[in-house]
Amino acid sequence: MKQEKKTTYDRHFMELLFAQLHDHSVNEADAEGLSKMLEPINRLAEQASNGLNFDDEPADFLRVMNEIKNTGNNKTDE
Amino acid sequence: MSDAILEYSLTEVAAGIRKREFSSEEVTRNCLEKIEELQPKLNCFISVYREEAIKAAKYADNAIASGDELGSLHGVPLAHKDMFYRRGFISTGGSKIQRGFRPSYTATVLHKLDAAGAIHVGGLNMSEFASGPAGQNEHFGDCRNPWNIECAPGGSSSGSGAAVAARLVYGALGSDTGGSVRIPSALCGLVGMKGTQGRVSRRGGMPLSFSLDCFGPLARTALDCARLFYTIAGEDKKDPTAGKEPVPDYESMCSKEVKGVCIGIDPTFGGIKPSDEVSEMIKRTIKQYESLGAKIIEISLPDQDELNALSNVITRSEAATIHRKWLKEKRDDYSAQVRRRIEIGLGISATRYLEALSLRSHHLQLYNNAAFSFCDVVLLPTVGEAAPTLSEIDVGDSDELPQMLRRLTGYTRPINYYGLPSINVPGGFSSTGLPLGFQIIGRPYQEGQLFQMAAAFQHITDYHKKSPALSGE
Repeated sequence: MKQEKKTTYDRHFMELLFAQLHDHSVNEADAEGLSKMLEPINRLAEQASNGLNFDDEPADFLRVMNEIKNTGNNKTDE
Repeated sequence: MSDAILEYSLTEVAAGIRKREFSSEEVTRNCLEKIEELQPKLNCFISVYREEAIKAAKYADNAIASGDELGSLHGVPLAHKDMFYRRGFISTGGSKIQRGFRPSYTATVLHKLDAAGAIHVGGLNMSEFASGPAGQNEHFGDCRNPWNIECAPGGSSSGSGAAVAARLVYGALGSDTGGSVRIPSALCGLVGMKGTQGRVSRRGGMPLSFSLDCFGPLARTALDCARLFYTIAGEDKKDPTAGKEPVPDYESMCSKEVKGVCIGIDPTFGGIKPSDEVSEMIKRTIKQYESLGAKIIEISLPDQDELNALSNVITRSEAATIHRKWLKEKRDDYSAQVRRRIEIGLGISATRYLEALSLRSHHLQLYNNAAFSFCDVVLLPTVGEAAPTLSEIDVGDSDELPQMLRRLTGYTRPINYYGLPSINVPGGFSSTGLPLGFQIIGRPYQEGQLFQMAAAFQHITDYHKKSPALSGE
């Protein structure tokens, strides 16, 4: 039987995370609200991370920007 | 002087001052009177620099009389989102926490506007810490949309949108991390430019996200916006993240025809369905561009929801880093919604954050392959609906918050993730008389082409010439 994936950011985890990592407490309602907002973002980001290659790094962004800035057939700013 | 001068565009009023058809002092006093009249209704301003503005206007008039060399914005009254630092002047960032903050230095963008001769008449209302696409602010009161004061002006540059649309000033600066220049431009009927990441210096502007923040102008016409953007763009030795690319003459692009320019349209809008009215507005816009000789092709854009998530990972992580100390020590000084939106960043792991940053190049390349391999620019809605009412978007930190954010930023936030330039252009009105806007997205550093597209559209439409009834009352 296929097991359903458990939630990463449930309320209890949020409470623990804030207390242990950031040394401040959030109440139950806030922990619940934070988990509901973070969970879908994290799930989609996890899905997107499948596209990450071993040697990708943040600075590649500037390289790609420079590569594509003058491509195409209407280089009007030149 | 009459209200007629308030209807002048920025470039028209700059020309009139230069030719001494009227003085900067007259124009500035006119704006200040209008601000005083409409502030109770619109709540656009957090502070008004009345005496300083009149003094600066008199100085500008003296410079003209003396035959001095004049800048392109000489004597023109502007106001800016209350997050651009000016030495000695309070810069609140729309927050309770920074309510008394007086910076010790002036933002590069303000230095550049000063050098061009602009008059700074005040700090504009905004979402607290530039965090909120609806533009609400519980510390300074909600800013209202001049087209219908029951409606939101959009945010986070809410005051910038409302003040320029209401003819209180001739242009304004805002900041755009997920749509905060383009959204109020769309909902208030203005042209708003978010440039390429790094095109404009960020030094001296309140940060929200180091990687995604972009500062840009809001104005009534493409030509006005081009002049403002030209003034603030370019290298800044004090901001190593500002690009060194030369800044072209954007104003000259505004008279260039768009015949032969290829516009990419995704019939599914990246998987986010707009309202019927916005959908119709896009169809009309396509026809109008076709009539100008532009070519239209269908493209298939990547899924916007996944990109929104990646963009959120970066913004929330960086905002939480900036705010971590205050979140602990001054937690109750944040509004519940803004605290919630920033605080989630504390729960994002470092690897998740770095993954989102590392994936930017990959997604930019995919976007380039999907769009710019086939077309020159991409046309999308800016917001999928007309301005919502203030009560509709009053969701606080409830479970409705993510849906409200998706409604307003679904089309804009991914563009910040790509780092691409994008301009909002007024595209018509809803059945209830509220402005609708579309955005045109270009390749990196191709802002000139976006001004070209916007100006060509404004040459054959008059949406930007209509004023909200409020300003004429």
